[in-house]
Amino acid sequence: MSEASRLMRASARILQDYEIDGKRARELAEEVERLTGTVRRGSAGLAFEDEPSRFLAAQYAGRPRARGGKR
Amino acid sequence: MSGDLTALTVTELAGLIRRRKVSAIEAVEASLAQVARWQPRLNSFIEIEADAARRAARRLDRALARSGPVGPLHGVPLAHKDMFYRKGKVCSAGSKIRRDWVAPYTATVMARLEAAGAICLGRLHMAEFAADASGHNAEFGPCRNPWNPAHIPGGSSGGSGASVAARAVFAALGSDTGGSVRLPAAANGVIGLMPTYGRVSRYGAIPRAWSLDHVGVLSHTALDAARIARVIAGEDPEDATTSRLPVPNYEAAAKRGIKGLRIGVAAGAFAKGVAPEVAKLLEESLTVLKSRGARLVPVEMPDPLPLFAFNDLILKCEGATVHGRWLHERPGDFSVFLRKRLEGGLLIPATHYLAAMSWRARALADFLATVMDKVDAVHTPVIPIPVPTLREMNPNRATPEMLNKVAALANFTRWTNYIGVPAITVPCGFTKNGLPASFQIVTRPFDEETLFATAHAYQEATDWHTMAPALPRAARA
Repeated sequence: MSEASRLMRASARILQDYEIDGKRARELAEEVERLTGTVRRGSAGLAFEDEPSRFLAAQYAGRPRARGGKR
Repeated sequence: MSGDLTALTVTELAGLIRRRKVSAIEAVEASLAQVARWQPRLNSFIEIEADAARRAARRLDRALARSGPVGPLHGVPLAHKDMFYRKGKVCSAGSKIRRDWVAPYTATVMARLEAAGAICLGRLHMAEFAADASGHNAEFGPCRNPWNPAHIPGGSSGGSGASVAARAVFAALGSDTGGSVRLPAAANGVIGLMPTYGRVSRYGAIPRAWSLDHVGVLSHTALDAARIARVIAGEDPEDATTSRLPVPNYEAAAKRGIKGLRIGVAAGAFAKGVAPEVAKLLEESLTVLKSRGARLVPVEMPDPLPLFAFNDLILKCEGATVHGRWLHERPGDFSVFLRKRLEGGLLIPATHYLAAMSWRARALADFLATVMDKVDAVHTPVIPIPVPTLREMNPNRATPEMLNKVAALANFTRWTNYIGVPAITVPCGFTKNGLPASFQIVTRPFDEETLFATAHAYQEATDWHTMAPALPRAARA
């Protein structure tokens, strides 16, 4: 069993009664790898000041300032 | 008034009721008759609340006679995706788990619609916990497309799209986490509005993924969506993510025209994977917008796929959190399809979730700096292929071909949820299989006015929104 699969199974044990068998654990390992791969590559470019709350600030900063949608 | 009331728009019907040419009870009876004709064919309602709707209509007719209209939707029959709480009423979220669950309080959007005089005809079909775009539902059976019941109505607000297209209701609310308002709107040939993240309260709307959820509107016209959006939008102390910005008069904005408006024509990744017959209809819609005075500007769009992936990861993590207790206690009460979609979220490290959340500001800033500095709005595909059949999209037969189609459905919608910008989909014709096609307009955050202006200008020059699917002869009586 791969390291990723062992991690999946260990995580699953945290949820009592939530059973993930070996085959499903392998499928999930692949899915999690697919999901996290893009983010992992992107996160290398994140800076100290990047944090989730900046999103709302970016929204307000990006709104149109004049009627008609033009800035 | 003679003639078919269900052919009217929200604004037309509300005007007639206000001028006492039509009563609310007449409007409700016309809608209920249409619901009765279509329901056996579509399964777009989970519950029809005929008696309650009639009582509300009579109450509103008395109020009109006594003191005038209570609001801009006085007497207009609507119905909504079955995920908005109304105190004392069942709210199933399309699920077995909440099939008989009674809401302890009322969603802000439901309270605002009622205060504006709207009447609720019932609870509309939706994907189990708003998590699928096909219209399939293991607990309630599939919802179908009124243009051809063999085809999907889209989702997850499939009942909203099908009911509005069939003119069983005048408009409906839905929710959009990756395209769940816009996809069913496009599949059924109606307007689909997804407002800016934070523009409309989600209080009392069951979450799919908090950071990505938007409450939206499905209607026949941009003016109808504008009227309803003005009613439901605005700050809500019960939802801390709502914006304090004032809500503009969207209907007035819709009528301001688009002369000189710079509309970006999405190129690059947004031109790939679009079926030729859909591409042709999109081209024709651009010609119409140009004829109305818009300036078309080719723009290179950011690749939507990384944004799709970020959205997917957030969706999985938040979805697994929302449903974590039930995954633990009642795993067998989820469909296999949904349980498999949620499980992955239990296993994603928090650091990756937070990285995906942290990238949102960068992705939005990049879109604003590289695209929206050149244009006022962007024109994109919505569903890039002819609307598929229910058989092709059966979640119990998950072939690689089906999974490709599922991914293709939301390729052009999910990225907007990730960066929180508003979008509207507008029907622009039919593909060879007789199913509708639509284009999408995207603008800056909080610039719904430009969405409405563009969509209204297009609808003034075209008549796609006046077309209605036909019932079989035997069902017309």
